[in-house]
Amino acid sequence: MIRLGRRGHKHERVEIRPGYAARDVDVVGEVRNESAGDRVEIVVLTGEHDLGTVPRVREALAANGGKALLVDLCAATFVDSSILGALLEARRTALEESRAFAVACSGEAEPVRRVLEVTGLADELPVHPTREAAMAALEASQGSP
Amino acid sequence: MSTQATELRLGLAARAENLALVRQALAGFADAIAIGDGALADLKQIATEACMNAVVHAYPDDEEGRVDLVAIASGGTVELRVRDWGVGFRPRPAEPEGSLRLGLPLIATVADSFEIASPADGGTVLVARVRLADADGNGEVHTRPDVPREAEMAITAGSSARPVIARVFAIAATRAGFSLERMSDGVLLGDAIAAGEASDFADSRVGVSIEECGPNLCFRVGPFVEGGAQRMLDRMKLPGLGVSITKLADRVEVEAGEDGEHLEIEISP
Repeated sequence: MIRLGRRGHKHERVEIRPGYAARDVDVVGEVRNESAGDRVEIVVLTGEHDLGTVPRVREALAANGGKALLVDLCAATFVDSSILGALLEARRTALEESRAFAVACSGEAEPVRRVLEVTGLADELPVHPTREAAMAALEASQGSP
Repeated sequence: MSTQATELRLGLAARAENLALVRQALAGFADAIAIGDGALADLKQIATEACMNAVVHAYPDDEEGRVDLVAIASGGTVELRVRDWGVGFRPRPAEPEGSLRLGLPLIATVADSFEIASPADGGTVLVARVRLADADGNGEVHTRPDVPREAEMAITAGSSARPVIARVFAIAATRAGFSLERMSDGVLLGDAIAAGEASDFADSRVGVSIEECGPNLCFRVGPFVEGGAQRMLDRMKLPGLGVSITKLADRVEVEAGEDGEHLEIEISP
């Protein structure tokens, strides 16, 4: 018997039949905003993200204070098409408002990197291999601060 | 990995927060049968997208629905079946967020094969297969068939083959600037091909590709079983006259290649 119950807002405890130790499984990804000066807002996604977290991701992407937007996926371990849709929407809004937009996703976030590549979004967004490279691209497109 | 099938069955309420649970169950399944990270990532992606379709599209907003996932690992392949009991796939004027626009192409890209069906008792089932890498971590080599120059068809021999070949030839001939007279010659040749005996063909269907050969069009018919191409040519002779309908063609050749025997019939505009 596997019993699933919600414990707090970010963990679900999976209890497994006697003989196995119950273990906490961090199944819900985190998203947070970081400001890098007054010109760039950074939204950092860690862990797994899907339709269950997309409202929080959209909220974080929208809370950009009118600044250029950098989405850091280097520590994300999974994204589904609803998250890709949210990224595309954020990019479209940024372009409409003449704000620069960039995504960072390192090779270590291999499953996420692969999804970006197979969907063709790696080129379209565009995606940079590190947060520093993405920041440099944002600054270049806006003129150095 | 064991060659015996290992199966996981999971039944869930079709809710967004359960998508993470689907991935955890698959991760445990992957641990149990020792499959690699790449294949697991693919399985998670497919399962999430397929279950998300059920969450977003299958049931009306005010109705709680069910989604079932079955994973079967057998013979170097994992098959995923995701099933709901909802309203099925319907064209919609505007897709909401989390739409099929990205999800299905993503499944198609990641899976080695997938199909969607509407079971008789309602809902939708999506079946996807992922081939597992070998012990050295090498995936299987995927070979893609050549891109056809025009159209390739395989049709049940007899009356069903005639209209298909005639219409496809007519489109190709229109594009190639054929005169009406030559188009009608080509349709006659197509009719003669359609009348072929199923038993003469290697897979019991009339196989035809219509290709551009410079300014001309070419019917490439086959693959035949041995002698099948010649039997087709013999049947194209008009009874009593000793004249073959192949007189309408500019070139007729029987080719014996590695991929079987083919008949090439070329016709100019």
